Amino acid sequence: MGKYTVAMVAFAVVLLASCSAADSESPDSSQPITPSEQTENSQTLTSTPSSTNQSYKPATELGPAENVPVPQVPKAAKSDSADGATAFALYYFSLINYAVETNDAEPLKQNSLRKCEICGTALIDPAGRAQITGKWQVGGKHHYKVVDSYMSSKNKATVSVRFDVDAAKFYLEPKKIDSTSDKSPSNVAALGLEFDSGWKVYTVKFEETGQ
Amino acid sequence: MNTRSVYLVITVGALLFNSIPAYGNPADPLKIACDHNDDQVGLGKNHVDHLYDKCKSTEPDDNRLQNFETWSDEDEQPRNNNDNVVRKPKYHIRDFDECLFGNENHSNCYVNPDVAPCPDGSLPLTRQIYTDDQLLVRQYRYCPGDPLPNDLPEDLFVEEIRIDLKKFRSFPIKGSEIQSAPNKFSLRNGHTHFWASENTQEFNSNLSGSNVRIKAIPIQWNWNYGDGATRNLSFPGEAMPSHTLHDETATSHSYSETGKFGVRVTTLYRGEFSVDGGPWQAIPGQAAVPSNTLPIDVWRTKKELIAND
Repeated sequence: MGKYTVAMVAFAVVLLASCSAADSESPDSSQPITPSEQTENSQTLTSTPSSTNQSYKPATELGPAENVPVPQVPKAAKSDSADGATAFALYYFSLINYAVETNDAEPLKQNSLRKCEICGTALIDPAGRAQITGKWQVGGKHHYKVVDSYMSSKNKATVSVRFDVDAAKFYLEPKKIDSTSDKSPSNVAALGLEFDSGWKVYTVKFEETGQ
Repeated sequence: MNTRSVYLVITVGALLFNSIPAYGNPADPLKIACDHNDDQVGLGKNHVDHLYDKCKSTEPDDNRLQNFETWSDEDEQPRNNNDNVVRKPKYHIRDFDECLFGNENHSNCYVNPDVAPCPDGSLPLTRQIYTDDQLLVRQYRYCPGDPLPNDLPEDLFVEEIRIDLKKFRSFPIKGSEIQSAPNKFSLRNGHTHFWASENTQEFNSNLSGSNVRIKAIPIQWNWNYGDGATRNLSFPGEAMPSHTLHDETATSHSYSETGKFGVRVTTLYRGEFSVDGGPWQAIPGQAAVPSNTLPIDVWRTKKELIAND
């Protein structure tokens, strides 16, 4: 990637950053979905970071994040109900952010069924590959809120999660950007869930527009 | 152009392409150009739009990834979901309105800049398609009158009662009632405070032997102040007992001329229905219902010098 391109990307990132900064000042719904918004929701995930002696450090151009606490499954997520499914979906997204920071997709694996294609192709497999290549990302955080939770049968639920993803820079070695991805516009991911002593994701469908 | 000539073109094209590797072109054009970034974790658009089916056949750039075993179970996963299975599946539909979820503060939702409005100006709702085993197969934004997806013909759908926009509008939905402070009176350039009622209404109907409940939920108040000014708001405003004409409010209006004006508000309603006690489902589109007209008499004040104390 040429210097010029890097400069362009950096410029775009600055633009994006300034945009979102402006957004967050206005009280309308155009602002990115922030964690504080989720706490207003009664069905919020209460992640209790496991106590660590070493302090958490976010990823930088120098290296991946350190001492990232593994999100703990909230009690509410264990119930076979629409509210339980909601709590589980929020937990699942916290695991996505955990995998983004750590490339550790083990918790995602434990909460996904193998027939979930997107779980493999967008999350679990890339994390496994990134562990081998040593790729890490700065940014790429998912912001999310549940916009619908529906029990389609006794043990199946669909939880629709509106989310966006921060722009990310990818590194294979310190200070050298390998690639970038832009901020993803707001979209809805519908998580199809099955309950069998706990919720698991059987499908992820992204909302299609332009019907 | 007939089909035969199209066929010929394709054949020639294929021949051309086939011949290229023979010239030792290092960049094999038959190999699909693959984004090598399949080690980027996340649901961002860049990653998800990836053409994995085509990419999988190519060799990874990084030798260490040669023996990487992908996690998802390809044998278990029919590629085109349930479309190609021998058993003819039956589908059914569920619609919801993400703005009405939990019924909490939906006011900003209907001006969501992330969602393009429908041709009729209403906000699309979300349609889910399920198999008869209640598995989700599709989710998309839906506007009033949109057809079913091309690949899922109508005869694959279970017949079920749905309330469409025309039916929804046929129910006697009441408009908002409006009030003003001061009551029906104002002064030129003063801030007259207006507010409207916010009434969710419910109706019952018997359709094909089923008991159907219908809810009309107000989501937007379009004000017409009678002096040419209009304003669309996502909240009705509320009574403010200590309001004076000096106080501008979120729902106040200031008349710059004296005279008699008629103030009206058109309330937009979203609909939901429930069949025989089943879950509430959204009705596409909106019903626009006019309010009473509130007459308002605007006077002017005369400036005079008076002592302050």
